[in-house]
Amino acid sequence: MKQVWFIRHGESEGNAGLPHAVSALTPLTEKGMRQADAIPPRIVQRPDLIVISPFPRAQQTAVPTLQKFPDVPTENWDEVCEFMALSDTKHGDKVWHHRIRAADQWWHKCDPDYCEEDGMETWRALIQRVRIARTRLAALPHDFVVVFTHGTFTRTLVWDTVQGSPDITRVAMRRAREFTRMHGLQFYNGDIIPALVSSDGKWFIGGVEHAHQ
Amino acid sequence: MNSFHAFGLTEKGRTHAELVAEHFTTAPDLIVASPFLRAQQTALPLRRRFPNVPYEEWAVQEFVYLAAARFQDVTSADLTSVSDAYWARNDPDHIDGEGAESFVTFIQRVAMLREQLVQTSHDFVAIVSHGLFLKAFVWYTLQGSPRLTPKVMARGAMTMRGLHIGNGSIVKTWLDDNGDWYLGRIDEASVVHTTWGE
Repeated sequence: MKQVWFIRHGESEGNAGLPHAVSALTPLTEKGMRQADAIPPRIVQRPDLIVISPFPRAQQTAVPTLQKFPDVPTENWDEVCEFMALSDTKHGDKVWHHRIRAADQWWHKCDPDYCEEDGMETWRALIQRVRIARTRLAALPHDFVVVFTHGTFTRTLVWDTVQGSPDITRVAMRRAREFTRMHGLQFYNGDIIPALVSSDGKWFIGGVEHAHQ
Repeated sequence: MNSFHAFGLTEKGRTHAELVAEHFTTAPDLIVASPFLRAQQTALPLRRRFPNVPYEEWAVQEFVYLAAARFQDVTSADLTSVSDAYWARNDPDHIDGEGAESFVTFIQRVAMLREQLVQTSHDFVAIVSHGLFLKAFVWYTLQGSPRLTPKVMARGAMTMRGLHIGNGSIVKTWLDDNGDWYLGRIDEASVVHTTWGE
């Protein structure tokens, strides 16, 4: 069995409720930095590869772990970035409750092909990206891979894996929304979800390991 | 046990049960079923296929959160509204009335099942259970055995609503040597999958 750990980035300014012009670029807060510092002691075994989302909050979260394992190769994968459904043109610089309401309205349409603006992701695109990431991770020759990634992305990967990659329909999207939303599966900043991949490519998802037990 | 919980399988349900039995490529070391009739009937084809495998009844029955009296002379619309009201209360200790159990007791049964599985000497156990029970098992395992507060119950209910476990589905789990649980893909016995990856 190959091990793949999914680590959610530390608290970002977005998570802390601060407005941000470009949501992909929201950096870690002081608390997020401390959460990033708390990650390396939990990675006892040396990883064979560290995969990182290109978003700054994931990159910053990985830094203390990269310092602990300076000789471990790292790769930036666009596939493991956060779900990007809401347009910064429309919602950038807006306060937290505005973004929450915009997200609720976006999900309420429950349309797998709804695209808010050119360049933004549909739910179908997210699911396809999750499946590409999973296939790419399963194909790696390494025994232990650590992935610095995001909340909605990881919850969606867990949901899609456990549900066996269901057809992309409105019903599936409605269910995924319940499972992956902020008030569904508890997967906080700095939390780890360990997974196993068998030699024939079967995925097994472990329990969330919270940063503060 | 009132009549609602004594429901047997339909014709379609019996087909699901046959498909579940056919789904097994190796014999389990133990077959377990809940005390509810529909689970016992679902286990029958599996027991017939593996007649030498021991069979036990464990407390893996469905979560019954409504009192027995609620099921008398009501329409399914009435049941939906009392069911919604139960979940809206979001009180882990609430017991609706005689014949019902609390969410805490329910989750204790889920935890007890995991403990029984840790203790058993068998390598491969097949358990015939129910929708909410299996959803709770999946949630409780993914969530790393959380302590039950109203907030945790609300999130558990939300996460469970996001899962689909149809009749005749199989939730495959793996317990590693360190005692850590892992969840595999939920397979529908009536659907033939060729690969796991996609």
